[in-house]
Amino acid sequence: MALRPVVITGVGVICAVGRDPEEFWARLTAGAGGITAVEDERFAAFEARFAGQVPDEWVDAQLPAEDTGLDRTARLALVAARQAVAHAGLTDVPGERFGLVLGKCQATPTASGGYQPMHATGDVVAGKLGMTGPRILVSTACAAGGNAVGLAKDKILTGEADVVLAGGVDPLLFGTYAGFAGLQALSARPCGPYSRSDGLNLGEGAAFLVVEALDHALARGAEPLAEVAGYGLSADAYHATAPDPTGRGGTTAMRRALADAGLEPDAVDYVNGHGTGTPANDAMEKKVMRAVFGERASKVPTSSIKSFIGHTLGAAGAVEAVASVLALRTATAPPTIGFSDEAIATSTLDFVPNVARPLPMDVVVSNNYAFGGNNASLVLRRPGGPREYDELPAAEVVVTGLGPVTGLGTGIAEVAEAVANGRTAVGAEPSLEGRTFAPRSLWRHMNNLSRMAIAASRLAWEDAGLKLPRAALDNVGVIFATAAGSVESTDGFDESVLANPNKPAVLSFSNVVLNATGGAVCQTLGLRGPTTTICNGNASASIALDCAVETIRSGKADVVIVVAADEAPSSADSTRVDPYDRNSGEAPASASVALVVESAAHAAARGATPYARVLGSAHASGGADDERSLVERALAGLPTEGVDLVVGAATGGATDEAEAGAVLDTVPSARLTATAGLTGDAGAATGALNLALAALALRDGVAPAITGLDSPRAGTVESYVTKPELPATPAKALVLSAAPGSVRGGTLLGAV
Amino acid sequence: MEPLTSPVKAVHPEGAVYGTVLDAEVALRFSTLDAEYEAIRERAALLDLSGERIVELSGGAAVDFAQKVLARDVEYLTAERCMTSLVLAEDGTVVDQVVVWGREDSLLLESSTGAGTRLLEHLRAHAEPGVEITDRTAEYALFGLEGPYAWGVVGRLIDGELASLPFESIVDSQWDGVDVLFGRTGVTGEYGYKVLVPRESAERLWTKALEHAVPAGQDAVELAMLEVRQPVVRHEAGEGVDVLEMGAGWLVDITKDEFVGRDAVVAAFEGTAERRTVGFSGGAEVPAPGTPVTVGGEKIGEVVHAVHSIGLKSSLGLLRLPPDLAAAGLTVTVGDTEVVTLTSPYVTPKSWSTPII
Repeated sequence: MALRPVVITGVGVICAVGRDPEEFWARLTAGAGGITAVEDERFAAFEARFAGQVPDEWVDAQLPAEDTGLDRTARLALVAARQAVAHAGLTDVPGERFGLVLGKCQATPTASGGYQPMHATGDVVAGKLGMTGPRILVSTACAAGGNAVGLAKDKILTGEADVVLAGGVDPLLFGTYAGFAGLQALSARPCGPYSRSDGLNLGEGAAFLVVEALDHALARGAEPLAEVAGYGLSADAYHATAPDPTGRGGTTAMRRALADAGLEPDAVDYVNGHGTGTPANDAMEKKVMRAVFGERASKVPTSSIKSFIGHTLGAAGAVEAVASVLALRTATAPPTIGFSDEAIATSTLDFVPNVARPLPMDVVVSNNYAFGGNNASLVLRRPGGPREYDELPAAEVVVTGLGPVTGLGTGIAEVAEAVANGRTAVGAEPSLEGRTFAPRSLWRHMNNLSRMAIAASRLAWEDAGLKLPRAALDNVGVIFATAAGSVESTDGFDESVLANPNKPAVLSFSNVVLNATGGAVCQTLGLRGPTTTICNGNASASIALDCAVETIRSGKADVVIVVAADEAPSSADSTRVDPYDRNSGEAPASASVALVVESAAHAAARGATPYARVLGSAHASGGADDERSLVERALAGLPTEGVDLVVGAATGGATDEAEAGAVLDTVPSARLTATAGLTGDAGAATGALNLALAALALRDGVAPAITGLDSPRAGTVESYVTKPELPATPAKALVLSAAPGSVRGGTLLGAV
Repeated sequence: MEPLTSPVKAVHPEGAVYGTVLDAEVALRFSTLDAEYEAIRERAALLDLSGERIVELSGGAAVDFAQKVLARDVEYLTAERCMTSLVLAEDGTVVDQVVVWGREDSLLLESSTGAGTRLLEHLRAHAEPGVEITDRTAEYALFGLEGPYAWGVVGRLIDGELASLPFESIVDSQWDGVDVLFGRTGVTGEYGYKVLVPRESAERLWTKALEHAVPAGQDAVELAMLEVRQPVVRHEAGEGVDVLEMGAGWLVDITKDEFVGRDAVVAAFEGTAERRTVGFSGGAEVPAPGTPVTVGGEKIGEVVHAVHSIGLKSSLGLLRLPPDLAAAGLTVTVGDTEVVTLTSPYVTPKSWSTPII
């Protein structure tokens, strides 16, 4: 099966060796590194003080005056994003056909000491560039940038967008620096990947690639630079920060990417490695090379451009994808610098030491490995001509297991009972007492978010009645959805750095990356399939479900766990929450909710009875219009006739009105409800609870009720679900999700 | 039950010296203790672990049963992990120390040398409906590799990819067309691996392994274990000695709600221990178990077990002393000899500074 060819038509980059792709490539091919001593006095606290920094003037000189007041993350991203769009010659892509997938590892600090929502940088870039199509924030730590290019390809294949800008960004942040110093992962000099391997340098930067269908690019007269032939994701299921020393996870990612591209390892001409320079990474990568290429390993040139720019975290995969595109275009392999003569003589693989090499190439692989055990491989090749292709198969996907961990109850039986009896537990902490969900040796060291997510995943797994042999577990995917990750670990780490930057709470640091919890789920349940982490506020779970469906449709997995989790930033009070009511309060909550998503064929083969079928979904993202139009644009993408029940994204606040107004007008046949009145607003987990309880309603005819609704913001009380028992078991339910102002979406579920 | 003998005895090197350890006849030495010790600490040694029984727990209630009879938590032990746990009697004394191998639908318990019969009897005494307890010893042979370059032997013998498995990981693999179960384990502080091979292929694998590694007998292995304070249950678990006094608290998990012996362990944790175990070295004479330990002529404890350490070139052993004296760096008298108490490991394994490449 040959799917629609997807190509890259423009690139942009800013990092320590260049303010644009020309300068970047000139420095790489000249072997001129950009790692320098950090001048900021605060960094004097650390023994290791080298980093790949971007001069302010490089950034500001490329931005219009109106952008110079933005935070550094947004400014770096805008510079590279505009370069890529200009390079691609994009002028008149309709906004709703133009998407953005942004990889980012660190939350952006605010002036008041808090953090912006993870997706805020993406919203700024999309807003400035006029994109209102799919908008995804992927946060698989140091693999995010490469992961973003893969997800962008998926959005082209599903037909949701014509063009997607994919990339990554991260600035150099003091706290992160302290964390890596605390892990003793930093080199005290410019790093030496694959040679000295005595630690990494951090870097900063941004890079973007314009991803579009080959036929679309050719039709508008654009020149394809490279084809996104395939990508592969995998989970180590081994450790929070250390790579699996056998290289199994990295090997699997590369093999999956090559399989996705329909290529054999023998076809690979050059590998752009992860090459951080830490002993653990470099040793693991050599094993990956030997495992994938066998006898040929020493003949496949592999280089690390981190030797020039340091580790740019969420940007790294995108920067390296840009380098890979330029390597293909110019038939030149950039070198790994920092090799001594002795290191060259003793090197067992070909790391292109110190000097760039002319190398005609057809196929390039770019690899990234991250905290949380997330691995991503991207296969790029020289673009072919226009050709026949097949559409992405429309495999039927079902929900077979539900695992809610909420204040309302733990496990679907408890929660279903609470829903049926109209009980509420707004802001209540979920209880994990009474049983363990992981080996005690792991459980003891886990933060609350990971414990909730593991409990939710295991409960969903048990609810689905899944019993798979070890080999099958290697292909079970995990898509993690979170708005903000672990508040507990982030606060704990920040406090420790504030108290003494040389004594950071390293265990908390490993849990600050947003994907840490997804990695913990993989590790605890032993799942090694495709994995990623989505951070689009309360819309994260529905976007994660889309990723799961695409993973199944493209044949990359038969079973995927979608697990969402968030924590209340402050202890909740007993505010009453009646979604859509004018007098409702809002209350934060902690929860995790997991859904087992499975191909209908796989579920049928094992005799499982699904809760619901996933019929379709649509997302729209914020533009110049108001909130109500955003809801309407999302709904416009869905066949809503026959929908009996709508489970909305309302959380009790003012934006509920836009949602209710649009729904009551667009789907007048349905009755509207939301789950935030039962639990409070649990961020991404509320999005997943909406999906879970809609699926339950389709099976049992019982839905979450808004028992205290008396003055709705739109329509009349009769339009809402005010009693749990529905008049009839619904045939179709629409589940809405919202990161207000940013992304709104709808997922259509059908009875089995 | 018949004493266990090695299924590869016929191809052991000539001149091997045998002895009886509980219910097993094992090779104490294949050549000389010095040569075998040197292989463990400097190169790679091959171990014949045929004195250990392999007991399978299967059936629908196998995991619950294992949770009951094992002192550590194995609820989520997957088919790719193994772990070490104590098996306790109701009174908290040690029945055996076992390695638990996770399997898809069962668990394998590997007894300590010679203790398999006692283990089986204990398991059967606690048997419950829904659990099958099967002695699989006769179907397999178990071999070990220990040493700073044992990983190299794994590469030459089976598959280099297996050498860097994480500690306590196991893999279903193949050797020469035969299904084997391979694990990264280790008891001497050096890189350690085990291979469980079907008995009909055991001679072939043993013979092939001899081309790459030096066979080491029970004496050398137990010495190397003691040097890194790895428990050898039959030397250390005495009458009325609880796990805390043994220093084996790490092999039980009292956060687990229930297991045989838990009450006694909890009582020990909550009570005031009268004795603790600490290592010592000094003197040329190896003191016998029970030799008094004195300070200023006053008896404060006794020797648990001692050997001559080749690594330290002196006697090395364990003392049981009052808790406040069971600390490193104290000079005490054992018999007539002054010795010094130690912190473990007593010998630093070369593997700690030898990377797998």
